[in-house]
Amino acid sequence: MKLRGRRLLVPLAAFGTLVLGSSAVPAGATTGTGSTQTVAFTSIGVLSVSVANVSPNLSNLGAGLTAASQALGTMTVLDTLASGSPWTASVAATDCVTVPAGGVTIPASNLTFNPGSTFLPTGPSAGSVATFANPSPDTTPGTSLSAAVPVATDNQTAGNANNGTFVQSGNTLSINVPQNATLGAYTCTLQYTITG
Amino acid sequence: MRAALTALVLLAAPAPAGPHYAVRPAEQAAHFNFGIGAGSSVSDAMIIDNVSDAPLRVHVYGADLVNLAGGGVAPRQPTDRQENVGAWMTVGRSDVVVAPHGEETVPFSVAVPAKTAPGDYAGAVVAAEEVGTAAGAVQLQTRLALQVQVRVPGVVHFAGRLSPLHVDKKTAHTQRFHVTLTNDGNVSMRFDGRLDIRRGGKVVAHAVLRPNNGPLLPGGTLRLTGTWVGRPIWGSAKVQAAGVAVAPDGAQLTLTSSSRRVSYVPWWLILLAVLALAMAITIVWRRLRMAPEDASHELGIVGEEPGSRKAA
Repeated sequence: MKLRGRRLLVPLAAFGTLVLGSSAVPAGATTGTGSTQTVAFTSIGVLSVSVANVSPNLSNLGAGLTAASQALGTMTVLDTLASGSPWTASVAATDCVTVPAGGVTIPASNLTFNPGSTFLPTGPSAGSVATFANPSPDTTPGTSLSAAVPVATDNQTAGNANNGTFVQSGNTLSINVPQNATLGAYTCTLQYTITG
Repeated sequence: MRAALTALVLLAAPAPAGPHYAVRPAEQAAHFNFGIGAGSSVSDAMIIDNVSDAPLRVHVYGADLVNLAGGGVAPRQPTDRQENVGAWMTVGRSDVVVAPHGEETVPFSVAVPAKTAPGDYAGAVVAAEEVGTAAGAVQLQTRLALQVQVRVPGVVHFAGRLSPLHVDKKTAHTQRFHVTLTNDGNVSMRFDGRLDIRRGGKVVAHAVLRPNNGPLLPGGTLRLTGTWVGRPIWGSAKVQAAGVAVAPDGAQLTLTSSSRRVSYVPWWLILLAVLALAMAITIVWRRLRMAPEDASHELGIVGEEPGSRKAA
């Protein structure tokens, strides 16, 4: 019997409600409105980021299959620092490990990030589609992070044109599940970094 | 068999309304730019703002900045081996909890080792959100990194080079090229580059090399890509990468690559033409071969009917 194409549906409810992103921010917590925060930040000159908590739906993915172009939602970069220095948004990934631990690890190199090309307002440039390198050293799979790949850069230094709030949309993630992956739920981390 | 199957379960959760924390230098300066002699040190501080209603836990550390393969820079991970600024930096507190709608000031110092060679060294002071351990999910973590630029005084060596131009993929009307920029000096640079496309000795088109004006740290390399839109279907051109590298102090350096000739021959069109010509020749040839028989047949019809003379 061929394994390829076999799918297993796992009830989502079995995993309860998960809070993605910062564990310090409870689900449903009010973090204020974007406009209010922007005004507050702009007055003092800061660097900030927020990433929409949208995870791809891969609940029926089987071994040997690839979930291509799973939407990740928007990323918002706020740079009001008072200089014309470029900023870079990048992302790194861990391996995907089973929960509970002990199963087969899906290497970070099976994850491909495709930066969205839509910015509001326009100005920044999207990075190229990139497959993550495996973390090196990968001392703790699921925790060790790969080298970062660029998601967006804004090098418009003239007139401090790279200052402001920029929303990037269309970021997607593809996951290739190896043939030897075992039944179960997996978890991995995407780490966004804004350098300004 | 069952064990060979897997299921990834990744759940969606409501998105936050906007940024919930931010970082900034303690002073009004936008970035940390230090001129420090070898064997000296400097102190400063970063402020972390929490604008959410919940406590914010962040890990603060110093890290080297590295060039990214596709352009831009990012700090190393705290578990990576730090080679310069990341190794020279000491933060006052590494695990910080910021109260809701509060701020925390984290002091740090940079001590440049004696005998450090002159030049630019890039690092960052980083605030990284702590990540949760919820099961079955893609965890999203964010880091904010304020650049820490250190210049060790001494002889400045501003140098760079472009590799030979490489010809990449083409489409019906476009041709892509790439070239590698290397920073051979000891100071950072930004590079504003383009492709010059010449036909018949004249520049007929330009293409921007991207990433444009991006930072490149000493010793780093950056792959630059340019696409010529509107290439001819038939013909040739000379292409050269050129541009200006700019140092932090404004010094400029013009860099050029060697020229590369590209030729375009529409083989599919030629093949079609050859096929059409071959078909035409075949048709003509067959007609010519059949012509004498047709001619005699026609003469037979036009001539006397069999037996007509006898009847007369």
